[in-house]
Amino acid sequence: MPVLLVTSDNEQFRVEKVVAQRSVLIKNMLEDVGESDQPIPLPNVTAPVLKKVLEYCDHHQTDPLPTGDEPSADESRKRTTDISEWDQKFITVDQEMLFEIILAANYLDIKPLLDVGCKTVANMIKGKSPEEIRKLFNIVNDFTPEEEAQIKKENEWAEDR
Amino acid sequence: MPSRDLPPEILVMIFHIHVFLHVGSRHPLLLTCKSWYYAAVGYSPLWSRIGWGMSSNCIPGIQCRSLGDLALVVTRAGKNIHMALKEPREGSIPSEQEISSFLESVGPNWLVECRSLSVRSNVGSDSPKRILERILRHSSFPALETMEWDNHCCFRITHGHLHILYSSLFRHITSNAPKMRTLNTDLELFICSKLRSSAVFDSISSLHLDEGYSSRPIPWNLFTNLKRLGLSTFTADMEDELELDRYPYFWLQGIVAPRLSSLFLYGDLIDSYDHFPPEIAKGITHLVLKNARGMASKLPRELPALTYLGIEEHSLEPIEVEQLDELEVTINHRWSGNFNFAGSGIMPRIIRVNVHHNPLIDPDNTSGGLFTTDAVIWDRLEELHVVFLCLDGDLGPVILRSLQGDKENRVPCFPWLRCLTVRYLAAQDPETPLPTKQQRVDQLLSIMRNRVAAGLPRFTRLEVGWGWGWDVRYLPMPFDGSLDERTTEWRDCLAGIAA
Repeated sequence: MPVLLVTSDNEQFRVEKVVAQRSVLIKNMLEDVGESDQPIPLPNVTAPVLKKVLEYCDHHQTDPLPTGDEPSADESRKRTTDISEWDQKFITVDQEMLFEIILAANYLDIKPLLDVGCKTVANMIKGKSPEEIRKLFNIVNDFTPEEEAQIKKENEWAEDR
Repeated sequence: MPSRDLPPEILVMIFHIHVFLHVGSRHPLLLTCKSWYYAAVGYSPLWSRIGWGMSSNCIPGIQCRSLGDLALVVTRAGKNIHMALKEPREGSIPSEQEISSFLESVGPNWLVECRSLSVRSNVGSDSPKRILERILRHSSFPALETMEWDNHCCFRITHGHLHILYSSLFRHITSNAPKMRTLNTDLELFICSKLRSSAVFDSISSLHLDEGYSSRPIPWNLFTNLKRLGLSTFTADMEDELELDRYPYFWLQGIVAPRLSSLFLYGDLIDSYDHFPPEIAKGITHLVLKNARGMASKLPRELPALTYLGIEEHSLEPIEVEQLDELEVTINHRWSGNFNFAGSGIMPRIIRVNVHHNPLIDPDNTSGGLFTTDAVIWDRLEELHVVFLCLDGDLGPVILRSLQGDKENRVPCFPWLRCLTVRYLAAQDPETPLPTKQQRVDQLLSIMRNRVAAGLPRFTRLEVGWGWGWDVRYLPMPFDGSLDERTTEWRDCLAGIAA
């Protein structure tokens, strides 16, 4: 049975239940209301973002759902792997869309998608200096020179690098 | 949308991947902007692994250079602290003011949330200031589960007075750690501490004792709940043999341990004075022998419960291990021959091979490389995991031929093989002309295609990884003998390949 989703910009998406239920938020909503053709409002997600998210859910609809239990040793090991080829192509979007997808995955509670998004950002900051990170993400340095000097001084410890 | 607008709960997920999976620096997270700074300092797991006075490659985590740094990091660490402390040497001893300031800042009971504590006392120092004693003496350890205490071994015998000092501190910590389950220390300190509380012994299920200088037997009868036991000592070629003769050791003499299931032996522990008690042999499920060259003749002929065997620099005599599921072989730099597998009679389902030196599995190695053997150990193989711990590690022609056959119509071996993983040492120098990651993936896929062409089924798991070997990113082999793979980057070669 299809599910009707309504975005913050009032666009409607009719999707298969199995696809929509990749979102734990929607899955719980459906379980709460039972069989119903009432539309499900998603006030924190815009149509272009939901379209992308549903593309991910459709592709991964047969993946096993995360259990929420402690990960097994094998699952923990898998977490260190690269992003799969399909996911990598999927997440190759502009920065604004990348962060919107991450926020939507967080809101909709789609852990594997959130993981892909976070790994992508982590890949982007890998090996970069604070200045390079600011430039990459258009972040303003809101430290005063004194604050910056103080943080540097406080954190002079060596690391495991 | 700049990433600074990501909420802190998402930022810390990114930071977690950056620090723990990418082994990235924490410094850029603190210095990019205020929201990143507050997210980072508020995320306690980033700060929970702490070292003070340790060399930078001893533990993964924050390495504090001063007590001031240590105080700052401890305040960020929250619960689940993993602490490693080393008695400072002359020249790096903190001043009285620094010590007072530190204790004032963190409070005397500052390790109340500590889950694991690693201490390196510095017995070799001529004029120790007892810094560790001063900063640890007044703390209790209600959350402590694991303690490791490493003395500077070379000065063990000649600094008895320092041992008395440290053994008192050791006794204080162990007596105030009701949750302690794992204890790794040396026998001399253990005996000197004269622990009286039976509650301490009762709770310990995992014990690792180092060195064999003591002529006094281990009080095995006190350990009523022991499940995992590790014993290690120097081998004769690393120490003065006369010195060893002065201190004959009786490691396993009188051992009871009815619940013991895992035994890790490093070095020639069993000499002519000792033997491998048949009582413990019956229940052992996991056995690891490292550098235990003289152990072969001491092993019982039957280990009926054994499911895991790990060996390094060892000649294996025939033993009956019908239940054996997993064999881990480490080929280190001193290994110079075959493992006599032909006569071992063991048929594991899983074989792990850790290679320090590639030539030993090279076809030109006339002494008989591991993969030149046609022993029955390979007959039941379902999983093969190869780890190269040297930069030039590579799947040589012999193993490749065994895995995929060749043009001379030799068919692939290991018909039941379903899982193959190969882990290489990651190059430190980007200029090093190693095969690219994609070439490694392609090589494993080629192996699978050749096997399928020969009528064998495709793999269900085929992965290539890059670990960080022996450098600072390497997390030492844990007690159970398995390689810690948290810092390994793995690539699933089957991803995107149609079944």
